[in-house]
Amino acid sequence: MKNRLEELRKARFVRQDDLAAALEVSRQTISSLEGGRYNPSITLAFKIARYFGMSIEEIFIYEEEDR
Amino acid sequence: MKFKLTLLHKKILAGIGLVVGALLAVGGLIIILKEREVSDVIYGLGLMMFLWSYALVLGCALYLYRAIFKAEELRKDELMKNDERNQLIRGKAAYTAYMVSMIMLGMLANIFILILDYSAAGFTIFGVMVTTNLCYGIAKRIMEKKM
Repeated sequence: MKNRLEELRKARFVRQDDLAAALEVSRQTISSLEGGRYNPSITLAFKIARYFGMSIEEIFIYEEEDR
Repeated sequence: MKFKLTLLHKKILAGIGLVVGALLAVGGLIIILKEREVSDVIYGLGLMMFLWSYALVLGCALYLYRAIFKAEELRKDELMKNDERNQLIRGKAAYTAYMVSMIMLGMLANIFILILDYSAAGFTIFGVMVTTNLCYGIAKRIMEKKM
């Protein structure tokens, strides 16, 4: 699963630390999400979507080969 | 509704732990000092009470100290502990460690029984393996019901 987290975060001039604090996760989790090494839980995905004021589908891109 | 322990709840629990620990320490110390008047079992119990109180008082006092004077540091630690990725990593690491330990203990028990002829040691290891597996099974059942 791909995501636009890094792009959206940088566009808003938000640091990984600040995003992590706002989402109540560790900075490492943000880093892993951005690197595509970790897929978030549905709760965290909703939190991220709410933080950026977007829908989950606009941030996370599901690809068939993930199945 | 899901109940979640807040920092205040944890502080209260740590406070209770501290009081219980102090009581155990006093009780244990009284028993230890009356060594000649009490039976061996009671004396052993006193020793155990004193040792447990040490761990309880130290653990609870440390938590209270951090909650009061190092609140930010404690909040960060809690965040790291509850972080979903960290929880996943811990779970997977624990399962891997469990599997590796079981295989190694199994091999060790076989060596003790079949090669070295130390049956008691071998069966003790088997006992540890059975207990660990039982605990794992119970914990798994509880988790399955919760999720």
